[in-house]
Amino acid sequence: MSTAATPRTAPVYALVGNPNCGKSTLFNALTGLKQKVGNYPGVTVERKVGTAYTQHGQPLTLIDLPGAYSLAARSPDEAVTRDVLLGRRADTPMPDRIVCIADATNLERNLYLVHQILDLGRPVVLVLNMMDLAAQAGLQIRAARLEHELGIPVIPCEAANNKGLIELKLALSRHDLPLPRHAWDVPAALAPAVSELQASLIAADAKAPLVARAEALLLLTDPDPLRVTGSTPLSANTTRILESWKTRWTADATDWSGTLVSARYDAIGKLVAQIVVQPEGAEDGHAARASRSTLELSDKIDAVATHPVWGWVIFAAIMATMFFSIFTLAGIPMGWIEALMAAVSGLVDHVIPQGAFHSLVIDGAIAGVEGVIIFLPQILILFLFIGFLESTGYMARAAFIMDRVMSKVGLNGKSFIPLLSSYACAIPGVMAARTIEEPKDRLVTILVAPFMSCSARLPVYLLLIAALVSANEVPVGTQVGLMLLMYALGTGGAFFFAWLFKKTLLRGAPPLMIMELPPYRLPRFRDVLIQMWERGFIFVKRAGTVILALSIVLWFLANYPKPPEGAAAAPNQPIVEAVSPGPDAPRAEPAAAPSAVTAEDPLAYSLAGRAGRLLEPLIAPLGFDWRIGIGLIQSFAAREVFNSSMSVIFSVQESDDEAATRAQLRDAIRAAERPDGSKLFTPLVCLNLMIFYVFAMQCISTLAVVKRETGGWKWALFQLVYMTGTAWLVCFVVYQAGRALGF
Amino acid sequence: MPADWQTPAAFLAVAFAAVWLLVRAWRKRVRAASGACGSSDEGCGCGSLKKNLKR
Amino acid sequence: MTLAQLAVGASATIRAYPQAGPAFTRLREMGLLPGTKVTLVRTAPLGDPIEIQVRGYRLSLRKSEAALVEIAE
Repeated sequence: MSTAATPRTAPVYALVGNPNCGKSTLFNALTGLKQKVGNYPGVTVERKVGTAYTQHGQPLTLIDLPGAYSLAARSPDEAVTRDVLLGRRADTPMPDRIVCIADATNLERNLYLVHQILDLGRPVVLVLNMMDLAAQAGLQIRAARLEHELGIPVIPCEAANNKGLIELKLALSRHDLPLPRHAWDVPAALAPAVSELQASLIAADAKAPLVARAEALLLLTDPDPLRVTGSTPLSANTTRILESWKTRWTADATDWSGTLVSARYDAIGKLVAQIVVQPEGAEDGHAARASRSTLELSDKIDAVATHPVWGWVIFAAIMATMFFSIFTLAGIPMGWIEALMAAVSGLVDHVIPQGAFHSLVIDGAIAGVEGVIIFLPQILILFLFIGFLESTGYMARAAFIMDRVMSKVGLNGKSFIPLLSSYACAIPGVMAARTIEEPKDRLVTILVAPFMSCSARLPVYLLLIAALVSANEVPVGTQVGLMLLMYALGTGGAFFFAWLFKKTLLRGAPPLMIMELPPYRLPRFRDVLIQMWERGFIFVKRAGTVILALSIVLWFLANYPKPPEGAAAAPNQPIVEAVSPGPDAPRAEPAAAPSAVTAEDPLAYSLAGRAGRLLEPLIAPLGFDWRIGIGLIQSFAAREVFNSSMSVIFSVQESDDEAATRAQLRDAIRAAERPDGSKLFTPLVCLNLMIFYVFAMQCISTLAVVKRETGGWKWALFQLVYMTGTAWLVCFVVYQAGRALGF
Repeated sequence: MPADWQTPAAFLAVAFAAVWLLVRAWRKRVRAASGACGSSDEGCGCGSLKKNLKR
Repeated sequence: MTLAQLAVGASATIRAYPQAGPAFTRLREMGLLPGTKVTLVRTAPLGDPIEIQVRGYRLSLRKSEAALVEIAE
């Protein structure tokens, strides 16, 4: 990167605006691919920083702050925006300059946030985006007049068409950005309180004067001071002043918060009346009678898309297309990845002679990385769909349609997207929960999201269904039915636990569902592709670093220590006796063992094998033996590793033909026997194993993300325990009942 | 080259991977605890940003 | 009369709403203030939430929240 070339004083600009105002499009247009995406520590709100260049080639640092409607933040996203602008984040110093983006078709509400930001007294550039749509709606906006009124540069712009960017860059590179002339009178009833709070915030809380004023206004806007202050609690003095004013106002029935918000909207209304010329024939009253034509088109679409019948049909069709693409279309690039990895394996096989290192590279590193990277196409397709659905505006409609359903279990429509994403992978699903404002709803959504059967479970289901039924004996419908049953079980579990948590552990106010329904727009391919590229890059990077290292360590655990040289002749004595099975599993008496255990002996000797044996008493009541236990342990790296560990354990020869390998593995599993000679994978055990995979929390990556998202190990561990506990309990009941019924 | 160079090489790789994972986890803890950036999984680009902001 | 009782396609003016409910600050900040004109555009397929037009944009909210907003036709 060009850090060295960047002058130390490269100014930092923060991009701020309402959601759906075209902020990301503008950010992408200004920075192109010179972006770095990460997270704000502790909250995991996405953090985007990019470099833009002025017309003279000077670099500018741009921070794309999360979309917000108000500085009185309600969601973690909005809290980050507020904290950065108020200079509260240690990791992101206060930006030098602020670029406010307002949707020209909907100026009135967009200016509310701008109005709050002007209070901060920082240099501001105001961008009026979507001027083309405003013109289409017949709105004429006098930008020059607005510039005059506010005293800051106002740039009309069409970010989607790259119009107005040069003017914006010229404004950004101005050295003499004027401070806003912000003429706004705090209502007389509140003015003394604001100045008193401001004085106290300066003196007792060590805030800068203008920040203190903005914060004082926020404290009076939001009834809950804790939400305003976030992690920086108020000093006793300020709290006392605030409380005494609130007591006084409550006594004389002053609605302070309402007065303040109304005063802002009044000021904005006067401003808008001066700068927006309404189309001919528009009724008077509220100025922003905007975006007539886009709304008309949106209405036509919505008449179908949210229709009581067609709405569901379209919804189901979109979801079906998405799943179909994820499960089938992804197969083609997945084949390429498989072929590529096979070629790499072949090359390594050719170069390195047989031995420990050979095995490490092929069975450890390459197999491990492949097991994860194989899902890259699915992740990309998922984000392609999500990107399109978001940028067209359909996502908000999906939440609108689903809200009633979700409310039955105490969640809201916004929880729908995270749960949906979790069908592909719980990780993006858990991350998508960020848009949920209420912390408890967000937590419930995160806690239940991994119940949705993710794509990593799919290979396991496929294998076990194949082992359970044979295509030539049973109709295909049974297989599909079993698959659907697993998905239904997971979904049902998610809804049940969401309901349970909302009733008990995380009881709270009914969730809010205040959501803007933006007009439908054509998707921005560039934005969607950039988002996909970022996701893919992060995913591949993880596979190449953390997953690679983990795979190598896992390989070691499954291979060492090696059995002693002489042990091959009389293999099973020490181990089997060392871990004698509990009374639950009398079938596994060592005396009956010899033939069955010999083949797997090196594995039994390894650390993973020992762990499997250690686990056996625990899982024996579910019908699983220690070899399945190894698979379960290894599934913690990635669930689909179960398949490869089964193929290692039951020593299946890998062949070039994938279908043949799968068939072989299926046959090997069917042939697997317990020490007493009975079949290991009875239909009941197969079914039970699938049920275990539905419910159990077996994904370290998800746990790590949950830890990050919830800010600590507490909820991640809780999730591990309750999900795995549920899996155990359900499997115990199913197995014991099944046995009692004679299966 | 000795006959069995593979086992030590494999052990070396495993040790390297394990140490790298541990160091990584430790560094993340320290940085997160100090409130500095980078406590997330992905690089957040704040290193260069910070340099820009220091004046 | 409250916003929750408004018929589809009908418009009304917000009269007042009590300083209550978890949502009232945000609803106000989104521009629903006494004197503001609102139009009920449609309800979701299952009857809840509702979609309203306010200050030139579309907003959805649940009936339980809308029931706190008093309106006059």
